[in-house]
Amino acid sequence: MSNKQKYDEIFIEVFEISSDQLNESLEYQSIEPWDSVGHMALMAALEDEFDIMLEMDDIIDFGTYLTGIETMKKYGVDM
Amino acid sequence: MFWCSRTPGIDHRTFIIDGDQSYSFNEIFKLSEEVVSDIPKRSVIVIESHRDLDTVCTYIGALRNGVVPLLVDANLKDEAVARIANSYQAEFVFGSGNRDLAGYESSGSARGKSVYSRNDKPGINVYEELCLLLPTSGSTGEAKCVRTSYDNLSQATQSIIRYLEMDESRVSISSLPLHYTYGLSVLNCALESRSRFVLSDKSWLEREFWSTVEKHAVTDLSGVPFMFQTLRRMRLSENILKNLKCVNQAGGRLEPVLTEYFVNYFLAQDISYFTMYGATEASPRISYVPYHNSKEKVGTVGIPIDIGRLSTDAADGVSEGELIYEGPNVCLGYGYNREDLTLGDENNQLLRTGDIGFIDEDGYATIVGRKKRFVKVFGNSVNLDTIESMVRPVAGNSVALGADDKVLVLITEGDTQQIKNIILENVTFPSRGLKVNKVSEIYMNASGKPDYPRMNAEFL
Repeated sequence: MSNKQKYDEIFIEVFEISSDQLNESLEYQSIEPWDSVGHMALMAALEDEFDIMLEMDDIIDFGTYLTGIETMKKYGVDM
Repeated sequence: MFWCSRTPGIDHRTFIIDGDQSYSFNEIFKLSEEVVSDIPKRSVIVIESHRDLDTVCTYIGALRNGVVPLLVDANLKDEAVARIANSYQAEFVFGSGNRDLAGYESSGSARGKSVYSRNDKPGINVYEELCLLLPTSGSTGEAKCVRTSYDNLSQATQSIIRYLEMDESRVSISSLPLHYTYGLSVLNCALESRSRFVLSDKSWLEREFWSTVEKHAVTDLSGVPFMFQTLRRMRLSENILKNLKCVNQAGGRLEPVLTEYFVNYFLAQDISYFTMYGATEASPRISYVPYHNSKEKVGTVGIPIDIGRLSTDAADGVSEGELIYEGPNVCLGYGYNREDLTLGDENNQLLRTGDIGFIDEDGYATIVGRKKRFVKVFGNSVNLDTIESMVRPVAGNSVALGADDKVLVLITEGDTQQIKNIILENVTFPSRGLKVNKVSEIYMNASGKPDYPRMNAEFL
């Protein structure tokens, strides 16, 4: 599985959404499961999967599906 | 009573900071009285609670004018708000502008809130000492409320500010919802100690919250366990830490390893850190860990507040058993309907907490389990029986189990996603706290009731 696929899979698992609900316009609070509690669960899952430690600033700025991809790249995850 | 005026010299000081505006105690009292000026004394009003000036003024106005406020979660749907309002035949609902509430008509506005007036006035007088109504399980829209007296609220608030050593130099912030007993208590404490209260409707995950904390030199932070799990990852800036004096945690159990982390972290900055324990029924405080003992007593919920006593129902009063709290802050009782609001004190200062625990030789209590069918889900108190009553009409034989931050519904037939959606329609706690699983059998005990201990062990 590519890192991009793993990234998508984490969104699907953490938010318990179907793959057709996953799209590039997903953002914080755009779907019910992506609230503040869901956000921290997403961060924890990404950290585990890619073996990284996200800085709080990056966690706060991780506002959308797309900005998250940029964040992963910043931490050396090849997307 | 903290909601009454004091000498002009005190009350001309700043109380509420809302964005770029600040308001003195006198100004807030004046605004508050305007909001409720047309409401007859001893009416019951439902207030849709936001972390904003209008909610603060409506609440304080009600206390000052002998009106009984019932605070509800603003995220509740119209049907739930109407159900609660109708249960108590509340004379008025103060809410957002586009509510459609059965039995109520829009009758104008007061500050930012729309006022909905009840079509049939109840004509049942509420008990003279009744001060406040708060739902026991606010996130599920349940109508059952805790009846709090003026004396309950005043005594608890005074006791809290004594152990937090609050004075007029302190600055608190609305980090928690005001319909939530702990969040409301933060406001009450600011008012009792005549200190500042900053309004913010942002979460700890948002930069704006922390810029507000820094800008207004906030000294006191209050949070529930989930918020501290978030805070663990943050590096608070020097500009925030230099002003902080007191950080307190309540609303459920924080893992001892995290408590230990925060105790050490804040101690190193000369900031006092308090673990606290309470219940809406105790207006809301039962016990706290004094900050000078916070290191030694990690994992405990501390000693009783200075107006109460804590014991267990074991023979010696300290061995493992249900925690029993006694004090003048124990609520009058519960309410389900308007008639119940005529009742006086039914508890005689005695509260069976429903928590199982023990008390050590220094008087510190440790909680080990739960007796009642209530769990804390990300700071929200959730009644598992209420969840079951939502599910059973659709899914038939089913049960709701729970632990910290987790409600697990077991069904034997039907679609798990559909059942999950039905529940989420009716609750306001984070959806991450809810799982629905299909099982082949719901275990029953010998008396034909759900065997919760067995299912907890197997499925939770």
